[in-house]
Amino acid sequence: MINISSVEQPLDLPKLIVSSQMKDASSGKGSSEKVYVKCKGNRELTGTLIVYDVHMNILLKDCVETVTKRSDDEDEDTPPEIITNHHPFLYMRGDLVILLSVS
Amino acid sequence: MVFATFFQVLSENNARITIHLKNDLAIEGNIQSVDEYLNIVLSEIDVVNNEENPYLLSVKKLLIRGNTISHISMPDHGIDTDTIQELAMKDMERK
Repeated sequence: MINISSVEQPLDLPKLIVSSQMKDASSGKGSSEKVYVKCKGNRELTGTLIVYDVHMNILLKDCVETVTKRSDDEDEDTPPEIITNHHPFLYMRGDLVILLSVS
Repeated sequence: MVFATFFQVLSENNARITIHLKNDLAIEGNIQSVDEYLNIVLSEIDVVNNEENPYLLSVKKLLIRGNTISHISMPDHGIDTDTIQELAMKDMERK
């Protein structure tokens, strides 16, 4: 569990997530906490955060990518098309990241 | 620099990756080399949606400018996550 009160700077959050993930991995706990990432272009990612950097470039393991496509000409009532993809590893470029949270 | 090192290791293993660009073009290829800007050279490329991009059919090798990349999907090439994480932690402590 992530202790939010110890987050002083924004990037302390991914740092905490990665270090807790590393602890889980070394103690043999298989199911570590997953992160939720919202990106530009109606893309959402869920996966295990492996590494990040100052640009918020991220590398996710066992990542599920969800893309929501809504065509402009259809009215609000029609449900949007949802595409899901699974990636063993996914690198996401930092400039497209909107938010990162513990899911 | 963590990501540059990460992709460097993949290039040494000649790993096959799929690069999705910001313009929705997806290109699969063997990673040949990478630099600090994450510009990437791919060889033996396959364009995922070939019908829409026939102009790329004859291209075998190309350089992609780092800032046009949206995301990169990689199969599990036995990627050593522990080493990357240790490297990243050391990198951050130095700053």
